[in-house]
Amino acid sequence: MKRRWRILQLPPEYAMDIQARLPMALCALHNFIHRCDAPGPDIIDQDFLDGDLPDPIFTDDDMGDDARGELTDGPADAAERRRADNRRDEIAAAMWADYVEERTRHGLAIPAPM
Amino acid sequence: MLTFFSDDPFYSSQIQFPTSNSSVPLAISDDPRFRFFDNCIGAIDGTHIRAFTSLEDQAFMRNRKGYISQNCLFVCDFDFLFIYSLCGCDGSSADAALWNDARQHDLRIPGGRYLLADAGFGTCDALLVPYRGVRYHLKEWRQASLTLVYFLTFVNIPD
Repeated sequence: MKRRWRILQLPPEYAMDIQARLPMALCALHNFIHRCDAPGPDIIDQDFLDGDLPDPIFTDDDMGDDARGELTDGPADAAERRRADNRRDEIAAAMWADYVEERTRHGLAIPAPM
Repeated sequence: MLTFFSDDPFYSSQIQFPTSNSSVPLAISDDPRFRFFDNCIGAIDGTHIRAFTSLEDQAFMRNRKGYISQNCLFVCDFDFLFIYSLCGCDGSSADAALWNDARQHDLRIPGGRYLLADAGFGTCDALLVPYRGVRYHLKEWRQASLTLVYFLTFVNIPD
């Protein structure tokens, strides 16, 4: 991002609220370019040229609070951190089991966990 | 012009956070190496963007690297698209502070899903951060082995 848009490399002399909007605008532009440019330069979103914005990926029906998830009250408490650590351990253990299985299948020695 | 790009409807049409109904990107679901991360939405990190401020604000805006900046928090998905941005925070604030602020105000993460983050963010339900003090780049990667072994060195595997 910062390399791509020169305005992000040197401090622009605008009011802070304008400066805060710059990265947001560039993110939106980045996505727009990425979406419209990916198939090739000849496939530009015709809707956009006609004056319509591209359709949102999600409709309002999808956007119920259940589907979007909750906000938090504050930083994670100890119980939540422990839960997250356990999930990380489970992923790691599953990967390790998979790794051992893969090594065994190829007849390779299994390194001892360091 | 700037307002057009950074505000509704253009901004919200381009930058949308996935919901629990959204499917996992093909890049993840199709690749067997990533099957352990099928509840992952994307990756999050903060970045400092150089800013120009008044003299009295400079103390707050100076970051740990020594220059005046705004700290911005971005989330991107596996299609290399931004799905969330939080900009204009003081350069002196830490990534974790931005994260807490975002989570309390407008960053909703569907239950059970999480983001990949670096160790500057604390662990919580919505983040998967690396183990501290573990070397992640193993020689198997150079040999282009099939397996990813990010975390294995830290886990006590029962016999």
